[in-house]
Amino acid sequence: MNSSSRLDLLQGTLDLLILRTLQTGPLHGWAISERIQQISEDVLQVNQGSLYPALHRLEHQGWIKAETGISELGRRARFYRLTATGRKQLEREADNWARLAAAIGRVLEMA
Amino acid sequence: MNRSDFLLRARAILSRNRVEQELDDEITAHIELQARKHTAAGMARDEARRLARMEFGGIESFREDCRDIRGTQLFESFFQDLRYGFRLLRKSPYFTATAVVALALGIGANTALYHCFLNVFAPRLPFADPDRLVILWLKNQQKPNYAAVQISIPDLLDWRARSHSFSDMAATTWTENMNLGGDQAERIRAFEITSNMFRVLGIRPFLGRSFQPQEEKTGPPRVAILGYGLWQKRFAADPSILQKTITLDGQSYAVIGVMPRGFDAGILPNPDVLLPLKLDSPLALDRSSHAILGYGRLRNGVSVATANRELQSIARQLTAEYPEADAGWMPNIEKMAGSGTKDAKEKLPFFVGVAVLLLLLACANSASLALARYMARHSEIIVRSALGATRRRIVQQILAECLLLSLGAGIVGIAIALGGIHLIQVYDPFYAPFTLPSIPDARVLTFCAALIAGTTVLFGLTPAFVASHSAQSAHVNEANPRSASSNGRLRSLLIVAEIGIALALLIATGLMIRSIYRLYSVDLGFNPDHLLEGELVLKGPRYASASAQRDFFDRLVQRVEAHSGSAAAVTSYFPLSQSYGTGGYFFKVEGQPLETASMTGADAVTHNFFSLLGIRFLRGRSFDKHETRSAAIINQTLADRYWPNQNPLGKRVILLRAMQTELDGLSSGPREIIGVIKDVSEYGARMPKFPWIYVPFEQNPVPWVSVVIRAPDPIAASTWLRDDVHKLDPDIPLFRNHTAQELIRESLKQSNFQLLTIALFSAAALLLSSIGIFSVLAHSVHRRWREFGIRMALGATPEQIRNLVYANGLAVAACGFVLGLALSAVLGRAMSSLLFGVRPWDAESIALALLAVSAAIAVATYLPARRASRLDPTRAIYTE
Repeated sequence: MNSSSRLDLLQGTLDLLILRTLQTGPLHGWAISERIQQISEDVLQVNQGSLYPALHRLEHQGWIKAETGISELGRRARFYRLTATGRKQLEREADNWARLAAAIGRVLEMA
Repeated sequence: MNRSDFLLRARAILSRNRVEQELDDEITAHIELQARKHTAAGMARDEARRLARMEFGGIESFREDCRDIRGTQLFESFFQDLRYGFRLLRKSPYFTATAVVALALGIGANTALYHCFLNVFAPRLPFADPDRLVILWLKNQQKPNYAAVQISIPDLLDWRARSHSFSDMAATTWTENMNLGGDQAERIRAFEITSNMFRVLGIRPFLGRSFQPQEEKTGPPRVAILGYGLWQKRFAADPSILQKTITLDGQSYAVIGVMPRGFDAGILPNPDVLLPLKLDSPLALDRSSHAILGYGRLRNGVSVATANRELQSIARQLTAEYPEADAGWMPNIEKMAGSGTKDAKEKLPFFVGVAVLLLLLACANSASLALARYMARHSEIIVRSALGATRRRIVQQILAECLLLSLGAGIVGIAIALGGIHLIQVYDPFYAPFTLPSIPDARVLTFCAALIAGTTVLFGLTPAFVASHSAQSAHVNEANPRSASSNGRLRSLLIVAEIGIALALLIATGLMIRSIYRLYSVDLGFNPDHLLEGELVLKGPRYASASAQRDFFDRLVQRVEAHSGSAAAVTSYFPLSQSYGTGGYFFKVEGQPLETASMTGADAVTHNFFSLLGIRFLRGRSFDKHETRSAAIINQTLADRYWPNQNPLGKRVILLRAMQTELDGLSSGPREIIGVIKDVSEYGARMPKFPWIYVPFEQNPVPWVSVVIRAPDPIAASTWLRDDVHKLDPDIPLFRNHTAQELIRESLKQSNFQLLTIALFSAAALLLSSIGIFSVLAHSVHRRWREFGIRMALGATPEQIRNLVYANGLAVAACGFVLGLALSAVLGRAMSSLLFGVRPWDAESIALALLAVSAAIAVATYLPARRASRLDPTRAIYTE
């Protein structure tokens, strides 16, 4: 399975989705992937192989921060939360996405 | 890279295990939650777990992805490679030892030479702001190629008063040796300095104070500053030295200070004693006597060029005011840090060339051996590649191993460099204005580190790329014939380079050996066997008059001749002794105009000097014991210059003033030539012949002389010679006591050093290339084992197989020879200033070198060839 090429396509959008998911509050990795799947009504299935690398990348960028908490299993787990710079980045990315979607829509309608 | 990135990376390196563990925990937690989701939907527990695991995907490559994001992969894998490489190297000790020693020689030699280079061209001077310090010389305008000379005191004082570019100027006299009296008379080096010298240099005395302006005069009270070394050695670092006095040349001096340790202004190498410069002596008031060396400190922001221009315009003013003294001389400023580099510029490139060649040879050798090793590890690398190692990773691993080798070589190399520096200090292969420090400084160590990195890349890259390339293309169980043969070609190429370098170095050695042989067989013009000389200087008020000096030497000669039973002579300069006796003189023929005057060497000698030394007379005779006429004897060079093809006997000549009036000179006035001698090599076998004139000592006694005797046992003789002098005057030491043979050896010291280094390097080169060719041939035989077996089975004789191997070796050797000859042409040209009587393209040396290398190659080829011829055909065919 050539996961690297799927990652390329999804890399920008996956980041956006993760940031948005975390906007409401800190979550751990599995919960993030579940939430995205639920809200998108199963259209978007996040590949686990891409999720955690994406989380680590966002962490290295300084947009999310990891902390330890207790999961539903009653065990210690790593939770991720949005940072202040992360929130700003989310606004920027959401903005870009909206403009991109609108532009694509106009082109499609034009034909 | 922002702050959180940096922190995370740091954490990933430092607490690597914890970070990995966290990742594992996260993965486990994720899979468990997913499994629970499935069981909640009704699946069986085991089913649920399996499904969750599968959904997750490949855990290990996922971990790799995360590690990649962390970005510390390179770092971690590098350490891993180093550890692995270390284990591998330990398992093949011969390869490791050969490579480390060879590289260490190259790295060590280059490091030592860089240390010398820095010391000559960019020395660290122990002064404040050394970049602002300059030395003031005078250059002769008509003869701009002549070496620059010293300046006169009145000129310096005027320059100082009239210029604005300098914050101050100071001066010293050239080196002067004095007699230090006491229970053990000793000859020491003394310099006179101005009172502002320490201030100009920006240093302070270690004890006591510097001189004051009122002390810069002749007569009492006499004060002196001791050198740090002398204070330690002679006065046992006595802390109350400031209340003591010392006796110099029969006079008493109060000690007012001690110099700081390591005072070395290059031009003033380690003086024993400093005295105030006498500004009121006749020397100091004579504008035409160039007796002092000038130092200046430039003001901030003033360049050397600006200061030069200013001084030159001042000099033009002074020439107008004092035409006889200053006409024809122009001041010339030189930065202190850059002075005295001419000799090194000539000689250093050759040594550097040889050292670089050696390093290249070591790299080629190690690369070739490494290539062989990696070809043997071929299957291991294939397996690695199959398991997922990228090409980059394989290259990295091999480079790590090479880096370990280079590091080991670097450490050994530093030890070799220290030894090399010591050798250079002993042998003095070229003139260095400042003493070479024994310990290299940070700049040199940085260079060494760069060398280590460079050699790693140089010899590691080829095997690394070759090995990783071959990994892509082959099966595990098959030795890929194509890649192996191209490797073999590559190795052969490296060996060709090695043989070429070895040949070039051997030819250079041959040239040096012939040069030295020529030097030793030069006819010096006198017979050095069992000849002994000792120097002494009569100083002090007791010997102020010529008659007192003559009297002393008469008595000394009487005493010595009675003691030894054979003749003793006195001369103001013994050949090859490099003493300061008398300098050059201006000389002209009587009746000729002043413009025809030229320089000549001059000596005052006793009547038996020529016969004692065995100097041959071509015309005329030696001096009588009591010569009535004002006589002179000249050497052939002088005769040929002024009276070519004529008889100079009876002609009259005049000695004008001396070039540098440090000591009492020979009196001027006309002299008649009564003899012509065959030239004596006054300055050594290498130096061209100088014109020389000799005057009778009885008519012209000088205080600084060498006493010469011929003694069957020089050691015993020097003891009683010293005693004889001591009995006549305990304050006068006999110093620089040498036999003529010792002086000859000393004069050839530099050439001996050059021979030593080149011989060492070429021996190393020859050994390495022999090992290299042996290794290449052994490997090639191993590779062609099956082929040889088939040939034998088809009817080839063992001799034919052996000849195949020999042919292989011969081909490599032949290419190497061609390269070597080309290299030796280049090397020979770089060496030309070191050679004597030998042309760089010398047939004999080349032939001998070729013979030596061929012999070595023959030996190296013999074993593999023999092994090949001994193989058993049936077994060979079935072997891999």
